Amino acid sequence: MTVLQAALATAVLAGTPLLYAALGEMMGEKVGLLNIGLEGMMLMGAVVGFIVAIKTDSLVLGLLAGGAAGTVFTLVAYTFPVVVLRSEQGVVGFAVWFIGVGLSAIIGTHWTSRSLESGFGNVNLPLLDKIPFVGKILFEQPWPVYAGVLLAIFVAWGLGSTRHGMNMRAIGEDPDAAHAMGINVPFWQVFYSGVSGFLCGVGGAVLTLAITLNWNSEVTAGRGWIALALVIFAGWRPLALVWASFGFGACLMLAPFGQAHGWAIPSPFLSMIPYVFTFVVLVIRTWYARRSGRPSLEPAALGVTFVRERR
Amino acid sequence: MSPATPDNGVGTVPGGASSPPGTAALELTGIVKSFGSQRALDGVNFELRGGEVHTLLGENGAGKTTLMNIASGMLRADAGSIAVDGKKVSIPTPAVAMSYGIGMVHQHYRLVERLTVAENLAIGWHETPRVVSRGALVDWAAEVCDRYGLQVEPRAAVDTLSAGERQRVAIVRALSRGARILILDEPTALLTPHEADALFENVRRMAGEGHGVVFISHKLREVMEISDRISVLRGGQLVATLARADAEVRELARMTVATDVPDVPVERASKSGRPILVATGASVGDHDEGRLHEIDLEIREHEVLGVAGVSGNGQVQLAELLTGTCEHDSGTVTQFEGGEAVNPTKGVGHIPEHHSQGLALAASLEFNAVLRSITKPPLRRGLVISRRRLRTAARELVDRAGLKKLQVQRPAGTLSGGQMQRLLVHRELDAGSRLLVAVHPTRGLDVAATNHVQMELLAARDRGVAVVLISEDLDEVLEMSDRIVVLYEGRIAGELARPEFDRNRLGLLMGGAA
Amino acid sequence: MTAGPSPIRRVIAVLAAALVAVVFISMQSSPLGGSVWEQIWLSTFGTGLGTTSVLQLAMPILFAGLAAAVCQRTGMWNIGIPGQMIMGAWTATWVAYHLSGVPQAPLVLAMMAAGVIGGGLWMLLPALARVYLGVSEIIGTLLLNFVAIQWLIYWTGGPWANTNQNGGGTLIAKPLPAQATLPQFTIGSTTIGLALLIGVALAVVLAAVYRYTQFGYRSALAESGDELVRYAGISVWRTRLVTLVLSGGIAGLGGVLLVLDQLHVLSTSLTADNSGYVGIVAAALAGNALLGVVPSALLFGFLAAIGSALQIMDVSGEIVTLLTGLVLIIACINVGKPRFLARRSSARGTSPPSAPAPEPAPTLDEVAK
Repeated sequence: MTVLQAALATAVLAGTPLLYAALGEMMGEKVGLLNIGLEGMMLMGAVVGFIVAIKTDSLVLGLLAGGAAGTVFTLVAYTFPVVVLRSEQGVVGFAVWFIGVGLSAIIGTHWTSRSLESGFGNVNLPLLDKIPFVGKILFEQPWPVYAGVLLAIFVAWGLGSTRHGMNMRAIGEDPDAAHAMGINVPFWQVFYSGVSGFLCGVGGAVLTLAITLNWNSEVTAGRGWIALALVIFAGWRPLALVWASFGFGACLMLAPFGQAHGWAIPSPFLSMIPYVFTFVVLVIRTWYARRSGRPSLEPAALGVTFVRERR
Repeated sequence: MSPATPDNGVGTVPGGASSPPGTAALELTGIVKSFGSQRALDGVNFELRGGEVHTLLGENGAGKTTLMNIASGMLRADAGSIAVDGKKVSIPTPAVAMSYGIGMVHQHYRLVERLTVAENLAIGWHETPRVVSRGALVDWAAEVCDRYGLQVEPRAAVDTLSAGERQRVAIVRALSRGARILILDEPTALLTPHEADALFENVRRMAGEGHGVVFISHKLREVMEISDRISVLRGGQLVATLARADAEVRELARMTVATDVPDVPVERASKSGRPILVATGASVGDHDEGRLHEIDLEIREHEVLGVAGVSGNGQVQLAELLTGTCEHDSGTVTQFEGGEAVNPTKGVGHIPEHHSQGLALAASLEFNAVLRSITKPPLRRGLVISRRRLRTAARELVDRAGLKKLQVQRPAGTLSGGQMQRLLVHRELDAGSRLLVAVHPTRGLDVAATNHVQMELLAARDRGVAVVLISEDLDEVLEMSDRIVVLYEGRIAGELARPEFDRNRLGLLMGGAA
Repeated sequence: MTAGPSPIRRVIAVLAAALVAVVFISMQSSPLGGSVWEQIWLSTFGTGLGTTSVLQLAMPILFAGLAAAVCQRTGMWNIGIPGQMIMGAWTATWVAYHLSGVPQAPLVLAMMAAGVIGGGLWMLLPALARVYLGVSEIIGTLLLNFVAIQWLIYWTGGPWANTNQNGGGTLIAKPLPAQATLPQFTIGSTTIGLALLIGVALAVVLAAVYRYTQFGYRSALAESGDELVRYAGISVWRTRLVTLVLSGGIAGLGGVLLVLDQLHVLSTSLTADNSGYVGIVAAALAGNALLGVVPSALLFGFLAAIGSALQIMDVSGEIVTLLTGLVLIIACINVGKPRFLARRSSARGTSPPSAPAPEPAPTLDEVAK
């Protein structure tokens, strides 16, 4: 394995938490829910996943516990105020971030000095890993990476080719019409905010269980916000999310990579790159979308509170 | 399950499950519904038989739509009962209504704009195949459309369709879900006369196949044409139910309005005013929808210019062009005052199509009342705004709009539709000292308020203001205007002076057929 | 957000958060001996020193709160306040290094001006992206925080590093000129910094600007949404741009004053207490009323002081972050959303709104009033 291949393989792994979180957020947005609190949800998954993995000595249980923590946390802190009480989504999302940061730090107070002996091991996919160059990058990864990609493909297929996918899109486009057509709008909004909580939690857990192998209260370092931007960048297309996430994974790995190889650029500048890159790409993407006039797949009713006419 | 094969149980055979003609398919008894303190329905009884077209006739706000929203599960009644085929049922959601064979085609169709026709037919329906490729879905949708004899391109996104096509989609959607009772809410409101004729044919055919059709309308002419029976609603109460044979137009008109309302005086001053606005070859917009093409128009003081046309043919853009709030891409628009060219926004009032366009619903009444005047003296002096004058001016306007009891700090969004419209109209009457563009100024108002607004518009005209009345309501346009232009697909299709007014000719122009 | 949460709701939010705090704190024991409550009392309003620290902690929150409120009043978010504070402080430090011979008053004024400019310019980028392209200012401003933090790490750990001082995990820059401080006033045993008074004065000035000038009116118009703006035929892009940059400038000023008033040197502890984010919550609790931010900031200063007291006792101070989020969520939760908000949204889409809307039911908000 060459140095470049190793670096790119690390980038794919680093992009995986982003992929999970962004997929979750995208599904929530498809049913009209904008949740900017991803960072808090990821942190909850990261800390609970880490603790459970150490206590049970099982990475799989840790991953599932992270997802469960994300789900419960999101349902209580986001879904209930937004879907049931119909509060403003932006404000609640902001609060979710705060609460997630505070709560995860409290939960993890005594765990910052612990670390996992080993994370998820690589699973080499037979034959595929023999493909020159890319084989070693893409197909010698821990299984959550493959699962994330498969999930993205499944979501893309589901949105495009199933009745349920059409119903989801209808909710995000026009909840009133969807309701009139007999779709249970609040139910699916609750369901998919739970799903997005689960995936953000899993994303956080992948971070602590496969990448950092330890926990600190700043472990996500803005990944939740990057994931939020990725959804826009990918234009609400699940498959575009895959390569976008891996691309941003590469950005995230620049600082440690540069440091390890003694690059002349000071490491703070390398650490800036993912954020600068996200911002620049977002600007270019928006500018391009405006110029091309191609219809955006952004759900028309995103962020709009659905109120059934009866109370 | 392959969606492409016809006999797979998707949809039901039309008429197959319909009630025998003559028996009650749907019975609403003693329906009561309140919104806040306002009672929208007050113990209404309604009965629909299989195979009949039963019209609900009444003014805006009489409760027609509310009643049918209760029957279709969109709203829940406070009291009263619903029976389908003689069995008492409860209809909490639209999905349940559908399972009883009740389908409603809403006034604005409630289609998902950016989904395709096929997708709109498929969403939320348990007989849509769970997994379906795009190609198979299109075939399935085409087959469904075929079955009901209503042709629409299944691949087209709904936002590219005309009003008539959208309505066909909505009707097919209701029928394909086994609707035996079809509720059509103001179905002709957005249609050209030709599209309306086609609709009537379909309605008769559906009734002939045994469907019960509820036809909601406030247009007497079409009611007399299509109905078997007519129920008149007024102020949330049922006035009468009669067979068409027993109905007579003048009598129906009298029943829909509570009291005799004085007619708007149609005295025509023949003052030939000076031009206020001259547009030459003005074009707006860069894509097809909502474009204005090379508009030539002269608007004069002392004149009401009516703009007729089916909505969506450029009315919104025309209003913005005239009020100087959108740029034209080519041609010239010059505005005058007393013969001198002036800034296009000076002395212009604009009553917009929807309240939400002209009111900040989350902000106070006070803010909304001074929205137009705050940037000008006397409220503003230099950079500073006088709070005292602002308060006085706001209170005065709110009082004049007939909202004396309301506190000015209350959010505008808590007002009823009619109250909002009154506030808007009065504010814009003040602002429009030179030109007043009124888009559907009486929509959503009761008869007395409608009358009041029309009088105010004519009074403004008599003061010398140029009034542009953009309305879907042909009767209103005919009654109020000194001159009428017809908009069709963003062009001025024709212009008629008052002596040439002719309903049929206008209808042809509106449909692009002349 | 014109009206903001009702006063009752605000009180409930604070009481509910207090309840959570009481339960949490009661579960702790103080390693210093004595009760936890006593420790908290001593380190907040119980002593002059405690009161001083509450006021000190409130100062940056006040500036951040004003920056956030200004933005919200035009219907936009500024989550980039920490970054703007850093850039304001950095620019001012740069100026101070170059003007080390200048006397106190002109130096401090120059630094404050530099802070406003630094914070404002840092906001310019996301502001232009928002106003011209419609790039979400929420994401744009936030991402630049991470960039600013790295920028701060670079300068305090590199070119400006103070090689004589070991700050543990904190990077500290070379000392500022000795005269780069702000006066403090002592009343009894409590000290109030001039910085806090500047903040209060700024709140008063801003409140007057928003109430009595056209700028305030235009902001309210911009907050009401693009549709109304278009209808009114008044262009607000300039108002939006000015607001965003002004907001960045206020945050930048807060950053400088934090250095002048408390830190006396540029260091990475500038954003350690999250005052930039807490300010956003303080503004929300005040319903974005500019004068209301003052008491709100004091409340969160008090909360922050409790947090540091807990930390001294080896209890996680992160409870403060949690409580801050709780206050926000409880204050802004709707108990029955006014129907008109739903109606406005349906009218915004391409499809026309449905038939004339019925009289809206009175909401609990109204009842509460």
